Amino acid sequence: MTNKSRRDFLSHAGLGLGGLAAGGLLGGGLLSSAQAATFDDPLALKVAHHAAKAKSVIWLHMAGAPSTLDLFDYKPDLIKLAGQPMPDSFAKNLKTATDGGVGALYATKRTWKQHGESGAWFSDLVPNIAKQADDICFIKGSKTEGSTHVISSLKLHTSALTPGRPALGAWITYGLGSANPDLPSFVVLPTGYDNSGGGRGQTIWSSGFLPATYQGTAFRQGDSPILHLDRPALVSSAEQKNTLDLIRKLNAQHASRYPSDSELEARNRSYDLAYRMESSAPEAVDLNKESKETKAAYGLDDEATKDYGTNLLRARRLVERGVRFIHVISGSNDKTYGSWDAHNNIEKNHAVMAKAVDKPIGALLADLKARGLLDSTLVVWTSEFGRTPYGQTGDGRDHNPWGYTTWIAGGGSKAGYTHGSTDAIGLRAETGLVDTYDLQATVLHLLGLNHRNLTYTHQGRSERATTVFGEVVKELIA
Amino acid sequence: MRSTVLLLSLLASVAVAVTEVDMDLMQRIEESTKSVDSNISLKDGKAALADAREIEEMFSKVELYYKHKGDAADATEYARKSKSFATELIRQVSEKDFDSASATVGALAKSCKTCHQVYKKS
Repeated sequence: MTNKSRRDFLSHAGLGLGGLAAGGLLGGGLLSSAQAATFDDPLALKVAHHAAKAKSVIWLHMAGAPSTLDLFDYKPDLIKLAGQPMPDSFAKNLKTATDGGVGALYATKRTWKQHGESGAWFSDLVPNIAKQADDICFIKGSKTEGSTHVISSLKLHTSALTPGRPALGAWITYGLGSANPDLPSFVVLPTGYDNSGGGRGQTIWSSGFLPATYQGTAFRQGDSPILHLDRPALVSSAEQKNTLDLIRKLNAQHASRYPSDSELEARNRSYDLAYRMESSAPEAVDLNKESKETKAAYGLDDEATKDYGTNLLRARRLVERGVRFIHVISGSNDKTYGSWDAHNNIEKNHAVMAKAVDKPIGALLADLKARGLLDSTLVVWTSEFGRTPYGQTGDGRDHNPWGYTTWIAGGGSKAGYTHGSTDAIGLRAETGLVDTYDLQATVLHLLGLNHRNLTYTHQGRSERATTVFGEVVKELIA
Repeated sequence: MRSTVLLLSLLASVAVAVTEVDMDLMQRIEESTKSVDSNISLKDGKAALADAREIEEMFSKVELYYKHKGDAADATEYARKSKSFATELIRQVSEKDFDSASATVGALAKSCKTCHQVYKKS
């Protein structure tokens, strides 16, 4: 029996996965997309707090923390002072907590040019992103806390230094609901062989204390993006029916004992969504209908850029299908380097990593713009922190939470604008400071959500995405 | 002589109290700030008022600590400013102006972050 005829059978018999899962609620029968949005559905569309400028977010997470000093934040003084100890005037009150200590100031072999009418600086590592200079809004006074990837990555995504809080994508899904009931509203696209978020894993796309239905769904690479979505070849439809019947009964029994168990509720909804996704998810990531030119633009014809380019092309297709938040984690096919974490040999590391992402990101911005999607899609290029202007191990850079560059584009952000700056050597944010809480508050604002009013009561306490912190950075908004 | 000893021991106990402020007070302030934020969001005026009063009292201690410590005029000023936010919170919550109080908590939290740029680990 083919997939289609199996679906027809299940549909007519009222025994699709969704029907089985939701049987206790609806008296059996397959949930249609329309039905899914009508009953007491946590993913139903919700009214925003104010008019939104953006409908979707593509969150480009540069796992491992690139040196923005070698990509976007041109510092002639650092080049001049390279090889000298860091002047005391810069190091005052600096609390370093690293094994490598503070080495001499270090400059890489970059060349720099200004691009576009905005005149923004870009290094030779990112020539394709540079072509989109006038669509980018730089945040050059970015700062955060923590000096380890795990802690700072948690803060970037969940506003906490320890695991357990919801990721921004989960809050957005909770606040706005799903615009497409046939696909997850919060999708994670990991790239490369070390593709679990550089060791961060699911805690950075967790729903935390929000109902589990809001958590991110990780898509695998390849034709079948979600594990076990297809019926195994050696399982007959009758066997599957019997199995699903049993699951339905067990779930119904369990649900009657634990009516407030959101994880069970989420699992039931996942079964239903899984059934609908048997066709919708493969279609969403099926690139066969994309032109040869589009694939080439995203770098699908080059092993160095193929995986990341594929994920960004998928991200665009998911935006077209109404997915709210797409978290793309960087990585490369080069097994020498799985992330941007260049404690040593930054020249090689950043050459590999920048090559993997530069062309696809440039293509994504151009493609979104050409399709009229950039106005409603907020692209966020960010990382857990930046890297130090002083060297480590002779040819690398250490973690720098004190000052680095983030950028956003589209979705109502101010194009061709630079906000804030670091000091003369790029050690600390000096003007226009933007913490991760402020970035989150601004992203929520562009999506029509007031971060102070988006609340969820957990264990008697009213919680919000940005905790007690965060301020919308109005200068970033067009 | 006896009165001098008494005076010295009294001064010593004040110094210890001020030093103790430095040990764990910041964590209590952070917790109370989260609590008042939640209670304002839930429009629980009574609980929010209690939190705001506690925060005001704690920032008085912080201000005193930095005054005694010396060479920390900016920290003293941050503490004074934070205390004034807490005073403002007390007024707003008393008047059940929860929207304004919510904005004041944001300003208070920002003041904490700004001070911690310099003083968090010192």
